[in-house]
Amino acid sequence: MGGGKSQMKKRIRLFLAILILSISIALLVWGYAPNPREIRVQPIAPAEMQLPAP
Amino acid sequence: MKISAFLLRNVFIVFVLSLVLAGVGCATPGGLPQEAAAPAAPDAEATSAVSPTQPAEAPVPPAIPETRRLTLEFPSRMRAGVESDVVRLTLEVDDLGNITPTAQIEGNLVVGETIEIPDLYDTHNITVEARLDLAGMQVQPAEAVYEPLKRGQSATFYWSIRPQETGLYRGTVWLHLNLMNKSTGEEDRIAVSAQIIEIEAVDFFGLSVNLARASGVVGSVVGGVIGFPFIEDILRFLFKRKSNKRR
Repeated sequence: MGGGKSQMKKRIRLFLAILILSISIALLVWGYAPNPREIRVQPIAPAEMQLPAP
Repeated sequence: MKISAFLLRNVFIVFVLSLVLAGVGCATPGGLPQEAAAPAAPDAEATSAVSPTQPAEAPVPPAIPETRRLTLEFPSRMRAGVESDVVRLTLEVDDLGNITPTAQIEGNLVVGETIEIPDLYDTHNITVEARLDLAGMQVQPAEAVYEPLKRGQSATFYWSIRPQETGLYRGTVWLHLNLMNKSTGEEDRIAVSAQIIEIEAVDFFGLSVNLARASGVVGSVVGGVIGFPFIEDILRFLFKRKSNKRR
């Protein structure tokens, strides 16, 4: 009976360890992951940088 | 006597007639120029038709003789709270942009005509003005930023942004050219670009960045300590599996 209880405790402890570790790793990954960046490139022709005709 | 009088009368008539004919002859040249003037009219029309092409010689306003490329880089999603990120705007020279425009139509090659446009660098002092308007978010610097623009050189602007709360933030990145005439001192301003950006600030199920990071570190330690006694069991389990496979 006592051996069964200790086995049960071991399993619960293992389950908790895995749960806490997985949540912690998820938090760390979210907390330190680089932000997704958007890059826009727009060509500008010389006509767009021209003085308006008087 | 009668014969001589008859001759005199005839001579007189002939003289008068010749005078009349001469008068008519002198009068007719007035009509001839009208006929001659008719062909001249198309010439006048031709000159008037040519004259509209002359305004092409009107002075072309000066321009920057470079094709440039505007690159905007910003985070589309970032963590709300204490964390900040950077928005970068670069106005650089596009080396591949200075190409004479060409087109090929049914085998005929049409080459774009090169037009002499005065160089704006020679006539004006050029300053690039950039501004980031982002309502609800901390932006540094909040005011417009200026940088001189020189031939072949790029201009880069950086802003530090920090969202305090979660949500969707919309803003505009403005780029203007300020031109000051070197000779007259006259100032002009050209709007080159206005780009709308959207940045989403998020959190981790209500947890701020710092709290999430701290929880991650603490949880890893706690999870490691709780799981440490099982390392021996796990290793034994793995070795058993390997030895069974060998057999």
